[in-house]
Amino acid sequence: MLNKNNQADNIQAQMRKGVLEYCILAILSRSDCYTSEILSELKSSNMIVVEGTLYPILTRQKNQGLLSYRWEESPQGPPRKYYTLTRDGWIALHKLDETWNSLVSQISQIRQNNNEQNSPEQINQEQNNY
Amino acid sequence: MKTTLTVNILDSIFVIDNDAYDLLKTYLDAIEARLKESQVSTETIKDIEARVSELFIQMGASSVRVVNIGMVREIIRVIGSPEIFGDDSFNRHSSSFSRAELKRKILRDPENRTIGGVCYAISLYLKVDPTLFKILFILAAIFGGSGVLAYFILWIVIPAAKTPLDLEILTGMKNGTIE
Repeated sequence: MLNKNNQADNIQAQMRKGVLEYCILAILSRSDCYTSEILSELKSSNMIVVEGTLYPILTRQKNQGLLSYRWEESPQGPPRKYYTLTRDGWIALHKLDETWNSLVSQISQIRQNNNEQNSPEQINQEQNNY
Repeated sequence: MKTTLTVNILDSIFVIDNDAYDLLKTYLDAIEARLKESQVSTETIKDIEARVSELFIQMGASSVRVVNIGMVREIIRVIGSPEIFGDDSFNRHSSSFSRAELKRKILRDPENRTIGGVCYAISLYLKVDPTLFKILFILAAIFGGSGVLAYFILWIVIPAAKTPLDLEILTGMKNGTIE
């Protein structure tokens, strides 16, 4: 049972990783943000637990040409890095929007089929097995 | 009574307790070590330092309010343990080098040589036919014998391409992508 949980954790982590990159692009499509704004939004929606996760991803997306940044002075503390979507970033976001929509409909289709085939008793039984 | 230090984090000055400094230094060094493998290290470590500085200010650190070990522990809790860095599989492009590193260089190619690969190395660098140098060396060897010595010295001086970077440069010169 422990092993099964680990497997699920692993799959979950993989899923989140991909979705996290999508979320960053989606947040930046609204307006340019500095790192802490992206952080607080991702934290409040429970997309990330620790902040360190975000930094390497931002640098990579910038290196891939999806994002660019500019420096702005802040009222207190160090200057802020404001990230903005590049043309390639917008193209990537549109592709991901489409992928997300089709994924959601495909998965709900499969789950719906499951519900039609499996009677509630069966599902209960399966759950008890875990 | 405690001794304190002054640290400069990306041009912001903080007064910090000795033990807090030790912990922070260990933490940032550990992250840097984890990131060292990936190309993004210097940039990411700067971003994290900027965040540390921002969080210190949010926690009320100032010229009269010292950064203590509790604040550093809180920072580590918020940013996360060093183990989360560097396991990002997308970061591992060990075979790709930045364009700035790829400059023309005289290198002996282990796969292209008649004797020691000297003629090929020079001609590849100068973009001319290796036969030209072969004839020159042979002529110098026949008339006076200095060709043999010159060839031997050049063979010692010109390095063979062994490191991944050198091999990348060699390939770049051959297919003309490095000008």
